[in-house]
Amino acid sequence: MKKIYILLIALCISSCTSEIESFNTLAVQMVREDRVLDQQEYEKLIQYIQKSSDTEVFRVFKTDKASIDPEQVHNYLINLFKAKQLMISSENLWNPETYLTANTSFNINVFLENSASMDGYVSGVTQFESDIYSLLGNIKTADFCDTLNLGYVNNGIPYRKRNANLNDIQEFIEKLEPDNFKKRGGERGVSDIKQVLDIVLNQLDQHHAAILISDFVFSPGRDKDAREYMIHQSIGIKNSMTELLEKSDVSMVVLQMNSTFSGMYYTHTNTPVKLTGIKRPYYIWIIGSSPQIKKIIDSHYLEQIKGGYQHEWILNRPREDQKLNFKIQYAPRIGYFSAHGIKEGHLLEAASSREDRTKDLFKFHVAVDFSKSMQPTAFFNNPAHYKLSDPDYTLVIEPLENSSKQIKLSGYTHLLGLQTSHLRDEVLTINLIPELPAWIEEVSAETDRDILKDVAQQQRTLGFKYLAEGIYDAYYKHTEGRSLEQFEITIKQ
Amino acid sequence: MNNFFANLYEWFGFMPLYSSDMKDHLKGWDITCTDFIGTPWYVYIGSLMIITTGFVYALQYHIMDSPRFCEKKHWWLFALILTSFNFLMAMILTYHSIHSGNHCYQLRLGLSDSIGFGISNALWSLLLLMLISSFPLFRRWSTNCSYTTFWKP
Repeated sequence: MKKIYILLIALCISSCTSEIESFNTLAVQMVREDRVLDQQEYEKLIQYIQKSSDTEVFRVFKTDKASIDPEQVHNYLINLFKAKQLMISSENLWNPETYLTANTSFNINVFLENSASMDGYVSGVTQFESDIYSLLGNIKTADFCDTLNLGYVNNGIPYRKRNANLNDIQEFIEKLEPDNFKKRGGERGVSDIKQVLDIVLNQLDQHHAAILISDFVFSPGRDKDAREYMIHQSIGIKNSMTELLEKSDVSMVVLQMNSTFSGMYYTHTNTPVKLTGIKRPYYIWIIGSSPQIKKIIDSHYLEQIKGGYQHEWILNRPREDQKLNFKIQYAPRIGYFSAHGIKEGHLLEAASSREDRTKDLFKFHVAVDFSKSMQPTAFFNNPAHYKLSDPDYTLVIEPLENSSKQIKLSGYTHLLGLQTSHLRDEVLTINLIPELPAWIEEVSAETDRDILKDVAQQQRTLGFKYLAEGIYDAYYKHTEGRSLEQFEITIKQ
Repeated sequence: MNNFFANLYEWFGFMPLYSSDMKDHLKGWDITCTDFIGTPWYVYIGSLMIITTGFVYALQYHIMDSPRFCEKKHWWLFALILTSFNFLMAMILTYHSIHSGNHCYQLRLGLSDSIGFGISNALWSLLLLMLISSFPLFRRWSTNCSYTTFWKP
């Protein structure tokens, strides 16, 4: 008799499923067979949310303005399928945002600085030529590249080949010789880097990104104080960049490359010095709007450059329109806090641990999604880049790539552990602070006086530090106090 | 409504019969560990508890309403059936959701939590039956059992 009652009650309970349970069941049914959620099925789920009378439950899918947020829906579905042991990758879930951005292509202007100091990189067949050829070949065939325009630059643009095809790229590379550089002309005798940058930056707009290839060696000239000249150039570059950044969204990738150099190197006094078979740095700068640069980075074509790059530096302004996606984990933890409010980033009823082993400690974890940032993963792995508003907290960073926790925390790239022994009511702010990379100092030289015999000077770029500081100041000093990424957690006991 | 039942079953914080994680699960912490949008077990089981208690009361006092079942020992017999049912119902249903993995993986839940919740549900059904049968407001409509309570006759 009791079994019958229990069965009846179970049937009653199961028929009284909440709307979210029905939504979950519907979603699981859609993907159980083919492990794919197509556009039609996705729209059916959206309609379910829109028609639901239980607005309180479905608020997790909505923005502050009560419209459906596709990203929230996507993240929820990924987590639901993982919880139901259905291994479905993010790519197999139709997402309107991916669909919209997939077809946005843009033009790319390639500028190769053809001043006299570049001749040594193009004498014969060099690593420089192979690197550029592999990069341009990949970019030309990329979905995001509409047209590829090739050109030389010094005090102007003395040569241009518009809408280059693969044969044009091959010809461009084959003709990279000092004779052709001379033939194309322009003011090859002096490298005014600020002027070169101004020319390139003026070509940028929402339809055009730029690639600038140069050795970025300052040439102050015989009668000038080299250091003073480089500082002035740095300030000028900073001002140009600041003015541009105030008007538009511009991001940048700076790659430091190496190649064999055989030819005349012109010192800071414009004295030619013959160097043969020396490994010298040169740089590829990729400049464009944030979506353009993000597409180029996500294509991984930079990693496919034949000789590889030595260092990478990505510069972008803090994102004001996009909120960082993070999720406080209910467990594991030391101490206690309520599950209420963690979705909004609040730790309520927080209390330190009373156990002997962990007495007075309070620890919680936050899963963060840095995938939308342009900075590489290594940036977020470094604790030195994090600044906490409360110095009593210690931070432990766990990258989730290749981690056993990756499946459960799908949609997040890092798990941050925050611990304190002085729990108090506060708003804990976690900031990601950009800094001038250490390698800039390593590749920069204050002088090239002894470059003929000094191997260290041969492998460095005169004044590169000043150039980099100018760019860095334009991006980040202007936004002092504002971090690249930031999120807050409210803690209340 | 969820908070009302939560306070009842958690005995207003004074008598925790199950873990904090179980409290969150019963409040409806969902399977994706996102928010309290999952099955509101407190509301469902609390509502069932009230319905079954009302039914058992009505069974003795109004449906059967027999002089053969109007002593206090009979009252306690009905109470035993009611509390047993509510204990098993709460325990089995919640343990089934735990055992089938239909909960946020971050919550540490076990059989003892389900047993504790079952006990809490059984106790409240007993208290509710005592309450509605103690006052003559409803039982005066009974023909044969209008004087029956848990302490007399």
